Amino acid sequence: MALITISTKGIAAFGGSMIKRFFSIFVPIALLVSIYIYLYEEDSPKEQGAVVVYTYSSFASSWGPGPELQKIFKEKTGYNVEFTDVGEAGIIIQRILLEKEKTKADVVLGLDQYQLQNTVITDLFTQPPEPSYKLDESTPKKIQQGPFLAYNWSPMTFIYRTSDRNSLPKKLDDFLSPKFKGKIILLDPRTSSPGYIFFHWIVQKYGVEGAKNFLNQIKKNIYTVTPSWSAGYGLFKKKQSQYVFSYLTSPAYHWVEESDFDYQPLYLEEELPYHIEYAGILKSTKNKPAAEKFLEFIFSPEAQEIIMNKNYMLPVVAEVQKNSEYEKLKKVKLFESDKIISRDEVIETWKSASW
Amino acid sequence: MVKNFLVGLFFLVLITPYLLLFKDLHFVSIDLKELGEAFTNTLQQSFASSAVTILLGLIGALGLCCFQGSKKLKYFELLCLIPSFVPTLFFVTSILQIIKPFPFGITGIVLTHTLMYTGLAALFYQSIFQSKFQKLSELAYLEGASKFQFFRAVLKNLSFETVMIFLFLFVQFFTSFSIPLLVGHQDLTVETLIYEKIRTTGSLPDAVFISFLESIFIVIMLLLYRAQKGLASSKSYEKIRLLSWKPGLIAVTMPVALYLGGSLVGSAMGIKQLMQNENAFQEIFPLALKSVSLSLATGLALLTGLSLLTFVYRNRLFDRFLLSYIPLSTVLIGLSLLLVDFMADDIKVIFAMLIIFLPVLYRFQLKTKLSDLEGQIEVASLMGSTRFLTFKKIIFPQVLPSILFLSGLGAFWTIGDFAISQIIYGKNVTLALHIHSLVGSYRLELANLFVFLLLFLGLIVFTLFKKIGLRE
Repeated sequence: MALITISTKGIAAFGGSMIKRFFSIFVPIALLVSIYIYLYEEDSPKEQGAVVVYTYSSFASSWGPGPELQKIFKEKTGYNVEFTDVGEAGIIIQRILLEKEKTKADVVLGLDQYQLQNTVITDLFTQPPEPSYKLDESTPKKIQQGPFLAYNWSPMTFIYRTSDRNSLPKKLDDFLSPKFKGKIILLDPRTSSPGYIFFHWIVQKYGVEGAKNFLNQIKKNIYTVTPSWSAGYGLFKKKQSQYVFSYLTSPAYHWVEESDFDYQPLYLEEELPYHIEYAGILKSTKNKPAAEKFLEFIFSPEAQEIIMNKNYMLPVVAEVQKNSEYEKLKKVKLFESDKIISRDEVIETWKSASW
Repeated sequence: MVKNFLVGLFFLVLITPYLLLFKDLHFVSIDLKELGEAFTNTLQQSFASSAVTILLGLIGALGLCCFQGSKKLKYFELLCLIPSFVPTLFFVTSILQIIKPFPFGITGIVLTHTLMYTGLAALFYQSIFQSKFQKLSELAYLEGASKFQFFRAVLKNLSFETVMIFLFLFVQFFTSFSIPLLVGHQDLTVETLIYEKIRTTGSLPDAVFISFLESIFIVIMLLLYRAQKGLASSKSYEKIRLLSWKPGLIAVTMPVALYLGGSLVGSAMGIKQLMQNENAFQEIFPLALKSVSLSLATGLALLTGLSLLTFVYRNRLFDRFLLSYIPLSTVLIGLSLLLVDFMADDIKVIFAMLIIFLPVLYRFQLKTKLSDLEGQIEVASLMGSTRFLTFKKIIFPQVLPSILFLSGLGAFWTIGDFAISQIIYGKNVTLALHIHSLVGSYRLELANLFVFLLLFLGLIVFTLFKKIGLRE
């Protein structure tokens, strides 16, 4: 009994000194944290009348077009705009569906042409104002869809480095050659929009059986299939592969920001798939006039130029590309097929290749 | 009464995301073949990864034991934490840079998981060696036992701890998302299936249901195990001669060396990108401050949560629930908390971290520490001590260092979070979110530089917590 009493006293004393130390260190820290959080929270609530735009990370970030568009829009119209970074484009709609009438979003930026095929999504949006701009002639034929307006786009292809000194493939089937073993990075169609575009293209181009055959042949040349575009492009930049499936406009980033002309798009002989990004106004918006103003604004030459230069995609408005680095990109033929392929068909074909 | 209230509260907190999404669960349509395939693949890779990590963790712990009682040990402890903290993409790109040709497929998955978690497993075993085998080691040494003979005897007495660490690792690997996709052969895993349900088919009910099945699966695994009583623990900080083996250090230093080695590639470009942006440093300061505040606040919340968990300890049912609980995937937790109106964003993030880390940290070390005290609790109870008195005088003082260590670990992981914060905040307010957006805008090298800063801040926060738990 005595022994236990002594030992518990010892334990308690040991704990007691720690508890004192805990309070002397953490109470001031907790106080500072609370003050900081309180002050920070003061800035957070939505500004009165601000247009809330749900978009993906790279658009809203300080490197992306968001902050500059925000500043100019405010100067020109007096309206505030708040960009909400909802991560990747695939999650935007899930968030809106979950938030229902509670959603703060007025405008959504970043949906792609495949997401628009879902009526659950299109039903959420209202008709935007009639576009008054002239479309760039290089844009895909069916660029405007339902209640959505395309604001930038890019053909998709493989990117390579000239310093790798490879003999370049001229057509897609050339990639089946053993000399490309382990040199290609693709993106997972289940988790990445550009990844989906590649596999959708393959299924449309070759048909389901042809696509399975193509994928089974190319798989030995694949270095890896990454879950996202950023992971794939990151590995490519770290020279883990010689080709990555990406935007034809990706090299423009290296040309403009790094003055590095080593990165080039691969101009295949065949027609290339493309990625279009759309803007739409939600039916649930209580801020329609400002939302419409914002949509009109992003199609102004000034905003289109900002988007082009910070999002590294092609503008949809005519003349904006003039005298930019993007003029160095060759015009390519686009793969525009009316054949409807379901998402399940694409994913099943991809799975059947069993990497 | 208080105990039951707390158990109820914990239970409620942990199932909050399920409850919030419950009203949307109209019907579930699951393809059983697909689900079976996902579970089989995930089971294989998690089992193999856990087994190899445990093996290497044991070897790493023998290396760490060489520095027991020395100040060098704390530096090795910090090294052990680095691989589990670094965002997956950065860790994977680094090891792909060094290990050539990289064994893609199941081997690649096991290798990557092992490299990321061996340090943590080694830390766990080292603390067990320190608390349980010190006295036995001295006796065995005097009796002339060889290192090998003693190690064999130690292994026989580690079954409970090994099951706990196995469970911790198994759940981490079972819920691993990016690694199987990056270095595997794109086999369907449970987490990929959940993400696919959310992102492409928009079937939130299916995703929630699969998450729930994950938990059921772990419960079944737990039912197969019957706990055994281990050796009683003691406090000692001397070097254990019979459990010291310097080559074991390779197991814990190799992953860090691989990461740092691979990170150097492209660092010059990162510096160039940093210099190009005049406002980079101005931008970084508030983000770093926010990250540290959030991390500290989460650490404090975890400290409170883990302390209360020790108070309610010995509720068998709740104990099983905690051991088998798998939180919903981070996207679902984040989305569910968007439905809560009355919480500030910071509180939501801290709340989400509690949901994610409390059961993880409990499994990782706290459960083992509490089991060690069973004998003392029993004696105290027989002598008429109340639950509160036993908690105050016996349990809490002895587990507080562990709780502080674990809270520090949770705070350390929180500083690197971007998945939850991105959904909740919706803008780049933390350094981790900034890094994430840099990766998405071609600036991987600059992001890599900032990961070092984030790592540094995280280690400071961790050290702060751990230091308080150290003996004077």
